[in-house]
Amino acid sequence: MLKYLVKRFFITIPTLILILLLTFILARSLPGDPITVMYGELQPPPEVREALERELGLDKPIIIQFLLHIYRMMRGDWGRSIHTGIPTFELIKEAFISTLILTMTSILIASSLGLLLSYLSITHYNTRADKVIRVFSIATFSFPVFWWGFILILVFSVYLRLLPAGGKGGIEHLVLPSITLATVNLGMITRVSRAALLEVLMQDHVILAKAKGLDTKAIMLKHVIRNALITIITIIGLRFGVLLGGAVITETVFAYPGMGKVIIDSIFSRDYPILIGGVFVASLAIMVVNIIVDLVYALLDPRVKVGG
Amino acid sequence: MKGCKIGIYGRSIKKHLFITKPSWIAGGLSILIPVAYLVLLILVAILADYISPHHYAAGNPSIRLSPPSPRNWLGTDHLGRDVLSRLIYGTRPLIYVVVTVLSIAIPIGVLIGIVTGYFGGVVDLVVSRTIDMFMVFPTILIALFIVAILGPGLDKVIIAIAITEIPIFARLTRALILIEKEHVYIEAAKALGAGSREMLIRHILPNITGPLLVQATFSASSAILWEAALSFLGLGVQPPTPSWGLMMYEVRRYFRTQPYLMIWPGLAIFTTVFMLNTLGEKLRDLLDPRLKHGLRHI
Repeated sequence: MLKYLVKRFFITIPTLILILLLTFILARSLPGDPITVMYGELQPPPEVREALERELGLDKPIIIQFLLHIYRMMRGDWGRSIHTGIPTFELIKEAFISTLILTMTSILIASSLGLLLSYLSITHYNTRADKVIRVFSIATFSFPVFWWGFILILVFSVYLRLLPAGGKGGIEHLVLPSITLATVNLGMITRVSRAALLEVLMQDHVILAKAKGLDTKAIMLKHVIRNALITIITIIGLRFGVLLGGAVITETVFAYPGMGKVIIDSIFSRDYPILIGGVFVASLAIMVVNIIVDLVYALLDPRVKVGG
Repeated sequence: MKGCKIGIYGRSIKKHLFITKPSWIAGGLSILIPVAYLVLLILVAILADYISPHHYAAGNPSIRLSPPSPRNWLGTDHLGRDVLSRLIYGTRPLIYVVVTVLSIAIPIGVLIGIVTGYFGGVVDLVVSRTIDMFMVFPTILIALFIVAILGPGLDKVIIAIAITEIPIFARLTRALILIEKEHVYIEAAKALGAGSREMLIRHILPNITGPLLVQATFSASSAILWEAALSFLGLGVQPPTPSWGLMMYEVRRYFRTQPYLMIWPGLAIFTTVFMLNTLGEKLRDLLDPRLKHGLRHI
């Protein structure tokens, strides 16, 4: 297990460097630069601009800038925001924790509800309840995320005045964003786990368990759900990038100060250190999730060995 | 023989095990309704000039933000423009986005899939790894970057969405070809002296169009959602062209007092995507050969 982790870790490094390079190139391909954004309508005289470029290190050849940036990041110096001077690492850390809380809460809601719905769907296979659940799950992944967020705000904070419409604070600020994000993922999870449950139900070991005279509930718990969990975890892992994408839009709707807001703002203000750091952390998170999924996979499914 | 197995919910499932070919009649309504809806949508887009009560850009500030009335069935927006007319004209960018995204993403994706899946080798390794890395990147970041570099506008949004859809088609085609290559008929065709081109065009491609069509349906719905999301961030269609996403972006400040301005376009997007997804699910049941056997036709 440890050997595998070390190996995965070393495979991750070149990918991360490639992603850094890609982000760097993309960031620099954005038209204009931080100085243009800083001054807006009144562009500074050339000598001021030159001084600023020297101060920000933008005057050096681009490849040197890239190598210098990687070198500094490895030493733990992620730079400061060009516009606000806040250390990149601090800013991203805070935003990342907010996004993580939001994403994890909604995954928890969506997967537990999804598992429940798919279970009901199977036990009522091909009845009206099954059909309703199937239509419902197609419906939930047809929602435009931001629109659904607005509808929830309208109902719960404008009409019922129960919950805040946005911002950050206690748990009450987390409720609407996580419901929004959970809803759009619920359908996908229900669908996938329903298919997984059906497939497991048809396998020999389940039939054997039934033949041995085991109680249906015990079979469901010990054999079927355990196997279906593997599929659900895999799909969550595979779609973690999509989840983060949904989080970006949800954060915009609810003015929730997470990674989405930080990255979008940094793209528009050409704040290179923040942008590169933000994309780096997002990609790193997705990779870590992939590794965790592999490990959980091995834990739940004894047939999978993670040694080789 | 999957049909011989009996699950623990034996009876109800067993009944369905023997349906290996679901009939078109069984799925009748859930195919008919979405198809009818999509045809209607296309007709509305074509006939927009004749059926819309007002011009989409004709504003009348004296009746701005007015509720539904006999003159404006769905009310007016913040510039006094008729919401219904804008919804009707909004079908045009919608169909344009879907058609262009698919006609960029499918040929390129399928081509990449064929090269990597059928020919394999070093190219396969390099391209597949690149696609894997690409998929680690959150889709929205790719789209945001592309739009930020190229500047806002419908064509740029289309390029951004198409680029995110290409790896999906490439991966699917590759997987399908890898499955198809194992079949005996390929062996037979090879023995009969079929070249690569004949093999691909006459034997493999016809057998994988079903799943590709299913994916195209789902990609169409995700293209609509992406266009809406990017327009909602102010990066998509530029005013005064009405797109459903842009309509919501423009009125987001008034939605507390005039919620219907937000509700109608969102409902239109939801209905369209829902219809496409329903159609996709049903087509998957009918066309995907991997799901044709026994239970998996669900």
